Amino acid sequence: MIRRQPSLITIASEETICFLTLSTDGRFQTLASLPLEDFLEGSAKAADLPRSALHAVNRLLVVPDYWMGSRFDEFQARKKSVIAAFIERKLKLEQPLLTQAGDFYHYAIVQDQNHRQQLYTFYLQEEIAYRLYRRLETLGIGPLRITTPAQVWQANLGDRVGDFSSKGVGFIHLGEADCFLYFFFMGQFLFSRNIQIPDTGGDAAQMYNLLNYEINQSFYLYSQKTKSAVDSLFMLAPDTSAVDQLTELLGREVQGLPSLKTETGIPGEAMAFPSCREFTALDLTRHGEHCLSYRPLKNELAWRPVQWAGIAVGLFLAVLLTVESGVLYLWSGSVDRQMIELTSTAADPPELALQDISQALDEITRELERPSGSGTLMRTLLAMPDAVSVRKISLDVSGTPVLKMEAIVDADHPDAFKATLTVFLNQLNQRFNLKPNALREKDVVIRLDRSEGDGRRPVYQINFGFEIS
Amino acid sequence: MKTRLGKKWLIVGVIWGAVLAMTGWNTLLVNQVQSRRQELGTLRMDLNFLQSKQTGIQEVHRQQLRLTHPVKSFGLGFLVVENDLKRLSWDFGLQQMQVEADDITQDARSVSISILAAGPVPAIVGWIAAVEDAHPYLVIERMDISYDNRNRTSRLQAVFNYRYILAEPERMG
Repeated sequence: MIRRQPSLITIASEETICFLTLSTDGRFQTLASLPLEDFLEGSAKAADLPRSALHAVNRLLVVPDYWMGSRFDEFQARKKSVIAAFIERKLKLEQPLLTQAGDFYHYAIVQDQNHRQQLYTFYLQEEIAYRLYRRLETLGIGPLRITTPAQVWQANLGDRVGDFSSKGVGFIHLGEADCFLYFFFMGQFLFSRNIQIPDTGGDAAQMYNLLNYEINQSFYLYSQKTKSAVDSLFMLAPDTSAVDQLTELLGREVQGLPSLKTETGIPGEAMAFPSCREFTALDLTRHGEHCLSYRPLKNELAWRPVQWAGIAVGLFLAVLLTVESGVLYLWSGSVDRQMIELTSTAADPPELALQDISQALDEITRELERPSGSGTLMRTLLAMPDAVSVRKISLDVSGTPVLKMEAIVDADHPDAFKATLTVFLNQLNQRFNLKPNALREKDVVIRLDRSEGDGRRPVYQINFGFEIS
Repeated sequence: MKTRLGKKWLIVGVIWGAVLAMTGWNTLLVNQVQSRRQELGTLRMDLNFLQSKQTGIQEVHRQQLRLTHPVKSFGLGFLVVENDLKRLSWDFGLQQMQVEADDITQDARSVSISILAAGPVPAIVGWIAAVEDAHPYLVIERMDISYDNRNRTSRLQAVFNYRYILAEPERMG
């Protein structure tokens, strides 16, 4: 069984680091909460962390807002390599002591009100953040992503507020003893402030006056940073009256947001992080553009879907091929069995029987192709005109069949001899089918012998031979 | 994390290596099965052919057997041949028939037989035709027929190739 590795979420503040895990029912459980400095120094040993934490995948590290810096730059290029080179150069110039600054940043391309392209970059700017990353990595639980409460709110508000990415937005997160102010420009986090609310002895008006003052100060800072005003102001507060109070004091509309906190929120032990108290499991587990990753790791993570696809497709193919292999084995076995059955029923192997037949046919054909002695003699004798008498016939079929002949032609004069010879040769050509190499008069040796006759009558002796095909 | 991702690449590599190896193996199996199926098809066709053409095949073998004389020994075979040739020569009126065998070598399956005879040409032709018809294992190698004008007779000088095969002795009992 393939067991999915448990997920770990780490929240860090200036003093504490807390390890949370997400249970199967979607609730957070605190695995450990340790003093940050002890953890960084190593005095809080790995043994202080539960085994389950060390074997989990650290999906997210939430660090205080000020551990991350951000900047807007007017930038025309869109090519990733050009942007990366620009950011890394800028970060090295601004943070020469942080040698790894070029590996911890994220950027987004946005357009301002004048439709000019702006490059928004956020990056780790506190040395402690690097130390924490290295410590976690040493323990084998290096986080896949790093974010801040402001970035989580940015993602959250991006879903809730229409035109969030095209206007200036302020967000007030009011608690019992503190208040967090977040400001966003063109959908990107600009700055945040943490206001400690003094004990006013139940005088709410004094608290709201303080908030009014701080918010106005922040508006001023916002206008200085962006050369524009905050368009919308949202508030999350324990009771709705705070929204009305601030609307009246600020003299502009403050829109109240319903509380996000549900039973799936972070547990009580993690409440040491007041800026995170309203976050739900959904806020901290979704993957968005509001996080940065260690660049080499990010590059590798980009390959993760490819890896999983590779594993899935590979396994699927392996299974298919295994099945195919099995089917082929069965098929092969079946063919072998059929062959054994067939060969066992035959008395002799069929190929041997066919070889015997082939040899027999060859032998018979060879014999049939040999000229028969009687046939050759008959054809020769039948081709002979009456005036021709045989003296000798020789047939040799040891090699290429050759027929040689000596004969006497009875003719009164050369013309008669010639006529008889022509008839004889034509008959031979016809009967032995000698058309391609037909016998002609020039092939015949002719001898005139007067000694054999009565001295007056000439005796024509002819002598010739030819191949029988 | 890097190690985990590295391990995952290793897993991907191993799986795809296995996939490639299995693909190669299966290709080999497919070729083997295809080849065996072709062999099976050929075997079936051969058997069908042998079954359907049994009569023709038997005839071919019979014809082939006629081309060789099965004998217990060469001497006995030659005796039969000599006797047959001489009997035929009497039938056709040939005279002075002489039949001689060349020296035989061990394991020889054919021997040259020289024949001398005298008689009219038609009788010689008839005799040769009868020999060729009755004894297909006697094949003419060379043949000379010469006519003696003075004696008004023809002489046959022929060399036949006598093909024989030593038959297995019959077992007693």
